[in-house]
Amino acid sequence: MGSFSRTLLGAAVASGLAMAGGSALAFDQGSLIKPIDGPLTLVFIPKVIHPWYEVVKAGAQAAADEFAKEGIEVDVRWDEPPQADVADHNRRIETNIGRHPDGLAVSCLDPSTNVQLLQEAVDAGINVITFDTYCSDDFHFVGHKNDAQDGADLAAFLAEKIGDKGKVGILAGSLTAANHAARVQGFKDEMAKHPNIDIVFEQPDDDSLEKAVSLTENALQANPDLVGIFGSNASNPIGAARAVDNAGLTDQVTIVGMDDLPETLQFIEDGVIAGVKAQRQWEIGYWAVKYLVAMNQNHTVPMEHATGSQILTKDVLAQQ
Amino acid sequence: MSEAAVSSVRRKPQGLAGALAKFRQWDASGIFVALIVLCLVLAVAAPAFLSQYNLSVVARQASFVGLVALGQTLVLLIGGIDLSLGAAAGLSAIVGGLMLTSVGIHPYLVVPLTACFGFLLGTINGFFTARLRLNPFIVTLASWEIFAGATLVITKGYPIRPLGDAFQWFGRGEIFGIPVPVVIFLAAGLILSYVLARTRFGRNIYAIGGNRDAANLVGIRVWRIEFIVFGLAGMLASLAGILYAARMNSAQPSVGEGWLMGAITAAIIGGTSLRGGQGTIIGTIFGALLMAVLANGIVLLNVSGYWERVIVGLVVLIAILVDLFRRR
Repeated sequence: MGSFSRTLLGAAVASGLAMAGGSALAFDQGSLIKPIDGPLTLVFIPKVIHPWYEVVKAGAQAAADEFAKEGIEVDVRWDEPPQADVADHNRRIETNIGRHPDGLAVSCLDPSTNVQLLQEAVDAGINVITFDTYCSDDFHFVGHKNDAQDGADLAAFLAEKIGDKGKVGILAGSLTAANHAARVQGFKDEMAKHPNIDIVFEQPDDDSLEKAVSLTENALQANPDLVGIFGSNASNPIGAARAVDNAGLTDQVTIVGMDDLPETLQFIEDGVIAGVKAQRQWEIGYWAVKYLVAMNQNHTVPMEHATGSQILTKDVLAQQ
Repeated sequence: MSEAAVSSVRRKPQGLAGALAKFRQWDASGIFVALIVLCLVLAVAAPAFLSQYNLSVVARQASFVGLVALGQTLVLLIGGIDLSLGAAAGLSAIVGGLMLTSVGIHPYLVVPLTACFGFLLGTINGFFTARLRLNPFIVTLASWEIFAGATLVITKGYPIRPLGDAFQWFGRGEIFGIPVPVVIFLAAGLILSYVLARTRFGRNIYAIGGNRDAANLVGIRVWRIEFIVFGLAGMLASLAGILYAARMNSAQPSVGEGWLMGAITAAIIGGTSLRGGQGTIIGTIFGALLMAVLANGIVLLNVSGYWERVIVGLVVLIAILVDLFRRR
């Protein structure tokens, strides 16, 4: 903001001089835009190393390549925690503040602690964008934050697939991940409108594929008449699919979940997973880079850019 | 080095050569050299490393894991291990957060009260391992689960925040330009160094770790010392947890999860033996600093996240090797 007001002051002085010279009052808003001189370094900090972010990376790189054609060199760096560990994630944000990149994009792992450090980054004069997981209105956000609606949409989709009756289960993801919790709540709220559907188990899989497999195996043992499973993240529908496939119960159990990892798409193709709500995370990477460069040019950028999501089914995939 | 210098060492250590000989006898010299070399490399390769902001960030990061590592060192010295320390830190942070927000206890009282709570948590482990003679690995594996589970039961996964401006001083404030958690970490290290080297309690700790039965025979009240050591370890872990909460202005349920292995690693590369009876506090402090500097360097040098854990493992191996050659 400091530089912005300085520029404004400069413009005001310039226009004042212009007036003194006798010409008409003119304020060239175009002069507020600053040219990019030299390469820009943008640091992205995701929640954890995960295939989901590879698609975000592809989008980010595409935007950087576009800028390269315009002669603006953008170096997109990914600083990825090997594990989803809050302390490690915060340490990376802290360290990058000291490094003072031209832009910092953070996917919030733990909003309550992340906001503290993101505010320190902003105070240090760094351009900050949050992506993927929303954490506060105080920061620009590119991504999809309607998690409860995703859960509700998948509940309605699942209810229709299983004929609006029977026992279903929930793989709840990580108990400390706000987006997982919101999807589960949305799913439950929608299912409350379907009295003939019972939610018979709900277990946290901690975003671990292996754990999702064993939880699903146990759930199938406990409830032989299970007809549906809802996975609240990208890895647990795959885990559920592997378990259901192994048990030979593909025809009995309908699986719905999140995101479009390659294995998920294969399971949809094979008819093991009925449908997933997929985000357009390529867009998230693309626009995050566009906005961070724009911020460096002193452009205005939206506080929120909703990149949305859609239900992917075998039919939808066949159309492509 | 010239022959004269070597012979002067043999006669009577003096001057530079004497200092060098003393340095080589020092338990923590290997890890100290490793730490200095790493810092020099980073100072050259990444100019941001030496900025005041970055150094205070590194020191503060080291102090959280470092406090847990100090506790782990004490437990390792008596020949035990405490796997529950990370979870104890998390649970203490939550309980401290509740003291502040729900009970309304004065911010300055919360830190000592949380430390007392941590001591109590530790003595639970102490009771089972010292009094009932159960294997500490198994006991603390169980209490790890119980502490981590209790955290989720209390919080339902939600963080406790905000904790208030006054309280944040403990995590964000500075004393003479040094971050408060770093001051507390170093103070704890100084006190423990003194206790281990100069008090009967400290000497008894080494005696128990060296040979428990012999310690028993010479009349050391072994179980009481073990009981207190586990309590102290819990206390140090709880300090790490509550200071981290103060730093982040939020008591977060998953805090401490990642500290267990880091703390054990810091102690071990600092020269503490897993078999007990051997190790120093200063070694652990350097170990914690080395781990924090390494983690910082990985970010500053933009090392690929995929390689990061390989590199951490390699550096730990090298640190242990340096120590091995020093001892030979």
